[in-house]
Amino acid sequence: MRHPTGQLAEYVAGTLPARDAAAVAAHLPRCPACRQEVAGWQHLADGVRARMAPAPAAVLAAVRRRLAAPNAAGSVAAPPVYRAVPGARPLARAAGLLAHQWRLVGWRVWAVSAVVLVAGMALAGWVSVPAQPVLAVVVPLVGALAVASACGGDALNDELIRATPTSVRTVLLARLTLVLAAVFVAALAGSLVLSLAGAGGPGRLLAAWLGPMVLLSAVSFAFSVIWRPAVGLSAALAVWALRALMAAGHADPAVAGAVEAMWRTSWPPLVTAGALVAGVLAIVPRLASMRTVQIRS
Amino acid sequence: MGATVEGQQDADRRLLCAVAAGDESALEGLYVRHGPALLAYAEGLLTDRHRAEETVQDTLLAVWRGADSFQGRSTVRTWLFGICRRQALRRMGVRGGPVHVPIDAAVEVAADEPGPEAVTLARADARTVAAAMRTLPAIHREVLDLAFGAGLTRDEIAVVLDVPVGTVKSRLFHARAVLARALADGTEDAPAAAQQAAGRGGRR
Repeated sequence: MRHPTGQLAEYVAGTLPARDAAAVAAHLPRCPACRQEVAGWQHLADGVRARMAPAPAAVLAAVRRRLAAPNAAGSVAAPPVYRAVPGARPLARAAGLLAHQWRLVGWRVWAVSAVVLVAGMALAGWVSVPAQPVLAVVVPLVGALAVASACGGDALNDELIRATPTSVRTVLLARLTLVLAAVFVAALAGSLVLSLAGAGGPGRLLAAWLGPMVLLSAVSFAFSVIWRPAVGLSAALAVWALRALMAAGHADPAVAGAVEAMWRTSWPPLVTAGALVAGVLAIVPRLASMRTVQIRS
Repeated sequence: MGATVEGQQDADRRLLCAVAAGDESALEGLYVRHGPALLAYAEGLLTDRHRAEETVQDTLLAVWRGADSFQGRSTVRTWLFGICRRQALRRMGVRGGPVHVPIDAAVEVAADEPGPEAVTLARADARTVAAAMRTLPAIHREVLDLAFGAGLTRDEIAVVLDVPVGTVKSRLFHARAVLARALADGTEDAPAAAQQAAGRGGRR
């Protein structure tokens, strides 16, 4: 006789499939040994079930409490959606944006720009009688340097910009405005001081550096934003060195004339600079998302 | 009998669907059906009623949050006890890895002939067995709780414990053997102590 010993525990638990259970039930009356086994399992099962108490309502009440307290229940709230509200106190918003950019740009950029600018002004006042050539060389360089450092995409600021409700375009434009305005005001003040010291009329001094500064800053801005600050600064330096070579008379007169025309405070360089900045701002959001993908991959 | 098991599983599945739809009374329904067995199981693992109740709370919360992720690859109660086990192990400080397995639990038992344990067990009453259950290692207590308390099939227990089906069978026999030994020791050495233990078990 073959004993269904291995199935008796399940038989007692009531989890044996119906057909097997029927076979066991048919076997038991003929087999005292298996009846003994079943009695043993049955007592064991009774002992296990004797440990089961009715489920207290307190457990369920506690669960309800925890469900009612959303944080305690650990439910993850949907991330808040930021929405910029244009139109609501635009001047205050613009001022706030510029003030924050002032901090984000960082004191190093301001310090270096100030030192170079002051040194250039001092040189212009001390060495050259017509101060224009020195100013035309120094001020654009300062502008390009400051723009490259402030607007170039470093990882930390990228993260910060992306975390704000303000668009990347707005932030970049605010930085460019802030940096150029700061350099412009400082250079203007310096020019006025030089003018008072007898270095020439203020209008002529201003015209010497304003156009080149705008153009060089735009070049620096474009390359800094699209690639990185070092590239922007290099491009600005290259244009700047080209102009210095032309001024020294080491180039074909026709080419030198064209370069010199771009280096004056007149419409062509200003329009070129404006177009450069507008073009960069147009593609910046796409650039930002490309960078994000690269960081994540 | 098979039809009622199917019916029970359908009822479980309906309740879980309602829970997924945000019905709190369905959660209560699951608790009423499985609460006692879950509590006994958790208490068997943790040997502490209070912590067992907290574990069942955690289990119900996890069911509430995860009801819509139930894919029906196992039965609902297998899923419930699986969650309960993970929550209990988390409270025990066991992460990921399996509970310690005594060497004898891994050895296949020759289960062809009726053993002497049946005789000892057949003589003991439920209260004495319940008291002796407390002396078992958790690994044996949990398989007994799942088989007889929760009424899970061998396949379901295998899923909950994440072991082969054959191991479930051998663990059941081992648990019975260890329990019978404890009962025999209790009656031979100190019948009074066994009675006392039974009395404590009854009052609890």
